[in-house]
Order: sequence, then C-alpha cells, then structure tokens
Amino acid sequence: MLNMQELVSIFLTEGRELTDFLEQELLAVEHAPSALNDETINAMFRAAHTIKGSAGVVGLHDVVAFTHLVETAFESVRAKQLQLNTPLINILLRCNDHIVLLFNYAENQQDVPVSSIDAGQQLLTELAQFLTPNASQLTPLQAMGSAAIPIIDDTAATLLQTQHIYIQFGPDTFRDGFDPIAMLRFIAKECRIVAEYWYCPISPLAPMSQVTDFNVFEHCYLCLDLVVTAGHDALFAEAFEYIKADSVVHFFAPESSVAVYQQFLASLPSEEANRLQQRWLQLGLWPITTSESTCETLSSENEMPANVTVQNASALRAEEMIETPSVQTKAASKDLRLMRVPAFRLDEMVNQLGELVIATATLQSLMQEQTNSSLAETVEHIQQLVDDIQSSALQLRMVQIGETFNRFNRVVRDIATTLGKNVRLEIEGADTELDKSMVERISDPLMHLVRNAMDHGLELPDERAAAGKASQGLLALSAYHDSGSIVIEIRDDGRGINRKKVLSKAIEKGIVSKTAELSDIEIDELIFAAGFSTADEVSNLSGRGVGMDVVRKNIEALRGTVHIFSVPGQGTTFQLRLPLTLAIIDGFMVRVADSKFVIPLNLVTECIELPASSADATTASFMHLRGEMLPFIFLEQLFQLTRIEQARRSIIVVRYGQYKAGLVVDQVLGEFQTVIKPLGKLFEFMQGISGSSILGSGDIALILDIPKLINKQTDKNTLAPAKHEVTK
Amino acid sequence: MQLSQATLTHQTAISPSFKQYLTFNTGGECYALGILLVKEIIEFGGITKIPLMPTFVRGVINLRGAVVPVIDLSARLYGKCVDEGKRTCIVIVEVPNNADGVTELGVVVDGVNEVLELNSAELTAPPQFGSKIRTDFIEAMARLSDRLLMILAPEKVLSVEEMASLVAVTEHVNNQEH
Repeated sequence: MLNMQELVSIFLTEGRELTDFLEQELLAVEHAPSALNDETINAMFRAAHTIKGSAGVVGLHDVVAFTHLVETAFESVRAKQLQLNTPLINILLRCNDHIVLLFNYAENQQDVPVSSIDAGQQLLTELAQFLTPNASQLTPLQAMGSAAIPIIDDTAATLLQTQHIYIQFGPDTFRDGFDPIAMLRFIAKECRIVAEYWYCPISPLAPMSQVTDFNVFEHCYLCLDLVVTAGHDALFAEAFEYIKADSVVHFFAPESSVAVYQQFLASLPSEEANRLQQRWLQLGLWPITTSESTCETLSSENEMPANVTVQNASALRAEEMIETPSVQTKAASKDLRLMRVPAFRLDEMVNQLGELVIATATLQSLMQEQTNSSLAETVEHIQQLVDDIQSSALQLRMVQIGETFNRFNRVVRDIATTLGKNVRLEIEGADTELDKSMVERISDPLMHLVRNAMDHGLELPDERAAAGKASQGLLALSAYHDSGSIVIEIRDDGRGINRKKVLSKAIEKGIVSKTAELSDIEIDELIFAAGFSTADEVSNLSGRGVGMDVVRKNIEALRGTVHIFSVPGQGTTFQLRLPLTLAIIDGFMVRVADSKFVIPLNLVTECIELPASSADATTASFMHLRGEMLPFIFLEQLFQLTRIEQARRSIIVVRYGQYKAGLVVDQVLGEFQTVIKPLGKLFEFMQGISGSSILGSGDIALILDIPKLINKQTDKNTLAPAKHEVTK
Repeated sequence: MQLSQATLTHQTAISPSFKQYLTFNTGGECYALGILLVKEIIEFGGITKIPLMPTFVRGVINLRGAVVPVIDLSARLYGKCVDEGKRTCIVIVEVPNNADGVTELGVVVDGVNEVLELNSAELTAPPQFGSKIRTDFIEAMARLSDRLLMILAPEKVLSVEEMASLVAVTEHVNNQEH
C-alpha cells in the first residue's frame, strides 16, 4: 500500500519531469521565438497545470499556491493576452527554479524556510506585473490558497476512500451557540479527517457608516472544505444536524463525477459557483477521476497527472471540450508506452539472468558428454533464448543521453550570461542510449568539461571578432556508439589550448622537468595532471573543487578514457569513451599457471609471442615492438603463482591512457562477454583485481584492473629505479 | 535451517538464557559459533585462489551464482592452514559489517560436530591469558562434561573491516618484496 510519502515521491518524479520540460520549452522559445506555436503553449500550460493539480492531490500546498500564478501566466499567454518575450521567460525560468526548490524541500520533508517563502513572494510579485488585468482577477485566489490551513494526515488515509464535504456556515451559526470546531472534533472521533481547508470568502465589508443591522459584526462567514474518510454518513448527518437549516452543507459521495459537482454548483449563484470551482480546482478537490477509470486513480501513479490534466483542463474551459478527446487519447497511449519500474527490480532481474546464463553454460558443457541429438538441439535452443533475453534485459536499463544533454541548455545560457559571452549549444546524437547508472555518473564530469570549455575555451565576442570568427561561439555536445562503447564529445570553437602557457605552468608546478621534450598531445594531456591549474585565470566557474584530474579519474573509474584534440585558434574537443554498461564486460581471458584472468577487451591492443631472448627472464623487462619500447611484466611473478614449465608464452599488449605495457601469460583463451561480480568488502583495498566473473564451467575468473596494475608498476620503478633490469 | 531458527526464536522467547551453537573442530581444538549466523554448510572444494592474499584468505567460491570469499579459520586463529581431510567443510556464515548489513563468508573448518543448546549459566568469561588464540576472539567458554568449548566472537574473528585491512597490508608487503 502506498503511503503519503510514497505518493509525494511519485509526484516529485513526475513534477521534476514537468519542470524540466518547462525549462526546455522556455529556452526553446527564447532561442527561436518564431517557432512558438499553440501546441507548445498548450503543452506548457498543461505542465504547469498538472504540477499544481497533482501537488494539491499529494498535499503540497506551498507548491499549489506558488504554481497558481505561473499557471495563470501560461494561461494568459495561451489566450494571447500576454506575449512570451524574454523578460517573461526570465521570470518564468526563475519561477520554475523556485518550484524545483519547493520540490526539494518536500522531498526532504522539510518546511520551506522563511527566506525561500519571501523569495517566492518576490517572484510572484514580479510575475504579477506581467499579467493583464484579466489575469489579476484570479490573483485573490492565490491569497486564499495560501491562507487555507491544510491538515494533512501522513498516513495512508488518503488512499482509503475519502469524501468531500462542503460547508458554508450560516450567518447565525455563532449566535445560535454552535461551534464549528466542536463539530469537527465530534467527527474526528469516529473517522479520519484527511484535510480541512477553512476560508472566509467575504469581499471588502460594506461601508461602516451605512450599516444598519449591527448583527453583521457577529455573523459567521466561515466556509469549510472537509475531506474525510468515507462511510460515516450517519455520523456526519448527526454532526451537522442542527446547522443544516441555516447553512449550506453538501456531501459529495466518494468518487463523485464532474457532473455531480456541476449539478451542485448550478444550484448556487453563478459568481459563487465560479469561485468555488476555481477554489476546488486549486485544492485538487475537483474530481480527478474519469467515468472510464474510477477509484484507481491514486494507486495507478502514472495515470494520475495525465487525468488531472485532462479533467481539469476540460472543466476549466468549455471551449476546450472539443480538444479534450484527442488529448486524452494521447495521454492514454503514452501510459501504454511508458512504465515506471524501480531500478533495483531491474538490477535484480539482470543479476538473476546472469545466473541463468551461467547455469545454461553449465548445462551445455554437460551436454557435450551426451549423445542424444534432440536433447542437444533443445539445449542449443534454450541457450539461444537465454542470450536473447539477456540482451533485451540489458536493453531495459538503457536510457537516452538526450535528457542529460538538454540540462546543459540552461547551464550554457546562464554561464554565457555571467561571462558576457555569446554561446550556442548544439546537441547531436541525443537518442544515443547508455546504461542508467552510467548516465548518473557521467553528468558531473560532463558538467565540469562544459564549464571548462565555456570559461577557458570560448572567447569573448570582441576577441572572437578580432580573430576573424563569428561573434557567437559554438559548444557542441555529441554522442554516438562506436564498437561497443559510447563516445561523448564536448567540442568548442574557441581559442584552443595555449600549449606554451600549459607547459610553463607545468614546469613551474614541477609536474614535468624543464628539459622534457613533449609532443603537442603530451602537453595537452598535462591539464589532466593532479594539481595542475592555470592559476591566473581564477574563476568561480570551472574551479568548483573538481580539477581535470578528477574528471579523468571519474571517467577511468567507469572503465572509460578521455582524450583531447586541440587546434590553437580553432577549438578543443574532449572525447570521452565509455562502456555502455557497468554490469557487463567484454573480456579477454588468459591463463597464468592454473588461474584464469580476464582483461577488459577495450584495453587490449594486440597479442604477441614472448621473444625467446626474454623467455628465461623472471622480472619485469622491456622489448622493442616496431620501434617502440614496450615494458612488460610477468603475471605469475607479480601474483606469485607457481608455473609449470611450458614451451610457448604470449605477451598481451594493453594500453591505458598514455601507457602501454605487456603482460606475459601462459595461454590466451580468447574473448568473451561476461557479467561482472564484485568481490565485496573484504577485498575493497585490493589492487590489481577489480572484480570476478563466473565462467560457464562454474569456475571463477578474476578481472584484472589494468590501470592500477600499470600505475603500481610505474610507481615501483620510480621508487626504486635501481631494480630496473635490462634484458635486451 | 529455517525450521531450527524458528524453533530457537520460540525457545528464546520462553527462556532467554538458552542459545544454540554449532560446534566444530579446527586446529585440534573444539570451537562454537552462535547458530543464528550460520546459513549453510557445504563440502570443501571449488575454491578459486586470489593472488597476494594473506594465508587466511583461501579464495572465493561460486555459491549458486554468488561470489563468496572463503576464510581459513585455522589460519586466522593460529596462522596455519587447515590440512584438507575427509571431514573438511565450508561453513557459510553471515556476519554483520559496519556498512551495509551483512557480508556472506565461507569459513573452512576441520569438521563440524553438532548443534548444542547451552544455558547462559554454563558459560564463563574467557581467561585473561593462556589460551592458544587471541583472547578477544573468544566470547565465552563453556565447560562440557568431557571437554572445554570456546565460543568464538564472530564480530572479532570474522571482522570484515579488520580482515580487509590485513588484505591490503599483505598485498602491499608482497608488492614491496619483488
């Protein structure tokens, strides 16, 4: 059963998608105002409306109160009363940020601090100035919304059937000796009050000088919208029995349809009816269920906001009724296409599938001892099916990178404004897919690289003009698949890396020696060195505590690589190459003594035979490989394994960053794809082995951590150069 | 196993002073571990060695698709590995760790004996010195009719944090050596 907090978290997920959407659309409008069409405006209005409506359902009244005016603004834009120009976009973007802020407080179950409330009010005041007189009619509602005192029960009460009771206390309620609070206490004894919204709908009092009936000062003006658990009809009747005659007490049956509400409102003066309808929409009391799908709305998370949109929108504006059916079909078909599944369920399934794959492999190896051909055929078939299932299961975790990229629209816009630069962001390959966990982990390094490009790479408009370039700089984010990995490029057409400056800084910081002769690429790579910074360009933008060395480390921790291509005066490209998923590795299996090891395939460049001259060597050594020096290590010596003599050994040449090294192994067993099994806490400090993998035979192979192995070897040589032995 | 745990919980509810222990031999001595930690007992074998480990880490096994580290209890207690025999087996235990709940470990012992139910009155504190193993490894001693039983303190003997740091140190030392 869902409790309120779970409902809130579902709402927040949806809400964030909507605010992201709003941000994207607003930026798109700002970028190309001519492309703005009614469909987009409608979509934006619906997004704002859904945020407000759903927030009401889950009891986030701060959000409801705040979003109301934002929604009004979109409505005015839709009604062509307001022009969606840059100042309005600016304020709407800030409002959008404020909504996200409110979401964050709601997520942490914190109260909104006073400073934020003030900031919100300030934003609303600014926004209100844009609204036409027509829209300002609606603003009193907003005040009412914030004055409502909601009492929200944090239990699952809202999921029990609830019903709405509307009470407009009669003017003589107090004088007749009735106490509304006592009535509520009476009700609360028997059933649960989910929410109560008090308000006083009096407009300015009549001029005092003209008052003739002095009783007016003792009148009761209270109105109450009460949401209680249903099924206590007798109790309610009893509670309100004595005020029934003079007050309006209306019970809405649980899951009342829109028609029921409209019928009730028809009995009231039209002005009051309108007011009540607006208010109930705002509080989320207006029916959100359609006649097709009753009473399941709250439990079926995905439908909730969609239906809110459809119903509320149709109720709001009669002329939209024609449009509604198409909107509804669209929403319904969208629900069919998308499903929200907790990530851990997918992980669980992928793990179980990994085991299934292993079990099938065991079955197959047993099969080879059998002679029954039809059995063999079936096993073969099962194997095929399992392979298919595994690849589609892994596909489930794949998400498009576009969402991550789109976030940078805002970042680039804001940074460009701060720095006084004119930058256009281009996104290519937004539909490229990669693993969800990967997406989460690359967004920080990406952010850093983008900030870096904006700050150091791209020049100011004047500078660009002086260099004969268009005053608008270009920053491109692109993604594509390349041989089993994903390649992400951050490209700018700025000034490129100033190699002279980088080199002198590196010498100054003692990262390289003065006499070192470095190639251009080697100099470019220096910016990844720990502690490197071109300090005279201090800025709060790219110096967010993460250096380029951290970027590289983070990428390498994901088994990825970073490369730089820079042409002075023409720009710089950072190229990230990452595996598609962290759960599976394309491995190259080797045997050393009687242990099997897996080397990540993307690091293997070639296999060569161990030269006869080195065959008797036991410690690290090096050889010539096509004119290059190739240092190599003996794995059995490194891992202290006892090797039985063998005739022929091989060197696996691996490459990592700027290093190339050879690993001497006894036998090359070929490449294969395997599920990575972490070794767990006991081995967390272990270096040189990053995980394990279960083979078809049930044996375990260890996955070598090549970067650490090479680093370790390099460190050792720097520490004790005397031990370095030359055998060739 | 599930059944015995259920029974135990039931009994504990009635008389909290009774607890069940799995007794086993290792290095010629008889030891016991609280049975609530024990998940299963499997036969010895199928261990994949991991290079550069301290002697007490025998390697990892494939336990129905999960990779489980295997600890040699004798090596952990006396620094000398178990000589594999007919009765050698691996006790799979779940030990709580500081971080995220429990870690599954395999513990190699010379042979398991029986499940004993002991009253807290039968238990005494471990001697200050004189035992063959580290005194903080012993939770309590039990005097049985014919012998003395040492009840191991799992959070010490099988401390994942302590063993992980030993793993790191051993590896470091090994690397320095060549």
